[in-house]
Amino acid sequence: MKTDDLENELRNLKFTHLSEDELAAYCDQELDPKHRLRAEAHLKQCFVCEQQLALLREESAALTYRQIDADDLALVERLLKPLQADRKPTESRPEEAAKDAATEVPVQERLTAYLRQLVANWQLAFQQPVMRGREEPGQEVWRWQSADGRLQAHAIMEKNADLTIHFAANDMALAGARLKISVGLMSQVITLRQVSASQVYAMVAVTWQQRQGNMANLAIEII
Amino acid sequence: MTEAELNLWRRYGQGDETARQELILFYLPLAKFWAKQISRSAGWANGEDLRQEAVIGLMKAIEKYDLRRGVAFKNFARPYIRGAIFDSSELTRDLARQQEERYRKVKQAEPELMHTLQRLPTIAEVAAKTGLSVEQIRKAMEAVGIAFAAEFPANQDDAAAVGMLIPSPERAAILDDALAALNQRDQEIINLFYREDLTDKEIAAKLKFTVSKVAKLRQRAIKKLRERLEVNKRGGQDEDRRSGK
Repeated sequence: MKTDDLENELRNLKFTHLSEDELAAYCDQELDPKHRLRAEAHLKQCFVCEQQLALLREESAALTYRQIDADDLALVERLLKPLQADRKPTESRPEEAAKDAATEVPVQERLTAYLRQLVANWQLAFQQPVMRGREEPGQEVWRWQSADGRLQAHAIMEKNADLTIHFAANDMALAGARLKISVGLMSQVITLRQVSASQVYAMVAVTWQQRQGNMANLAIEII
Repeated sequence: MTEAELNLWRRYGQGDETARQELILFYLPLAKFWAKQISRSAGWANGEDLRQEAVIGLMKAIEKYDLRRGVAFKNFARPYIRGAIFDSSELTRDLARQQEERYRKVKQAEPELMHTLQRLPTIAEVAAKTGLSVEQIRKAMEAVGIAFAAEFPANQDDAAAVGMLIPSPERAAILDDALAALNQRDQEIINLFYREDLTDKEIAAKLKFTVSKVAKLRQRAIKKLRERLEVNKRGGQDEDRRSGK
């Protein structure tokens, strides 16, 4: 390398646009100091990279202030359905494995695991200020099912503006389980009761006023 | 990655089907974001279809992602999501190509202006040179930046066409490493002279040295840098030989 070539390179180093990887690392403050120096100098005067960086920042913000609505949930479920149906019958399915395991796992432990998944799913779905009465009356706004299909739950925006949360299980061992449910400004104890030969069921309603609290913050305790 | 995220990946790795759905929902804002951006910049009305393609891309990324590689999921998923959207429709691709035409004009104008101005041009200067409006340039850059991110916004070839030697991002990283190995004073002199375009006289005034001392230190720093690059290059070649490349 001739010296003048090197000097030319150094002089023009400021013109080298940043790659997307570099921009992403810069955005996440993960660029090491020696590369950050050049990145900052370049970004000060480059509208091209500055615009790309702005996009990546918006992307990060979208991920931080996640907004997921019932349409999103419906879309994901619709896209997942064919995948689940496509599974070969000979394949070892996690649902079946879970079903097998369910027969061996004590009720309390099983219910705890179900509820942990249910709460996580709820929290993901409700991490935005939804459920404040803008939804259509009678609209299902959330649905969840345990991996083994034994416990199901869904939420409906009722005509009277209550949000009702329904729990149904085809696992008779769960009959009689008492759950303390806290969400928004509501806290209530419900009991899973046998409603048919093969089903237990319980429901709780959250009024419009009670939904003024943090709806993502669902907690369910077995009592 | 947060503990909750890690936990979801662990459960997914163990074959937990609900974890897959939870992961999709967790990262769904990524898919929605890119679908919205593309819909906006490509001017395509059917955002719903784009959103669906974006989610399919996200699902593919979740399937392929390997937590052990240490890459942030959003960086791993980005090309999958954008790729799924652009692969899905002839119309989307055509619209991106139309914007690419505009962006090509910008790319041609940029090095010419850099050559004349000896700095990166502003968007207004590029607009004046290309006859495009600032808004048209922004939109075109956004569309092209999203659709062809892997090759965007490299400018080495265009600069070479007007006789400028611009280091590639890989070469720039090598130079960064070599520069960082110099002492603080040498780095500062190189930085002021080559990056901030100060003269030896201006640097001398700033650092309270004589002009001849600055010139001497700068030449010495360049020599050290050249030696460092040679050593690194030899090291790389030895490494290649050892790995049989």
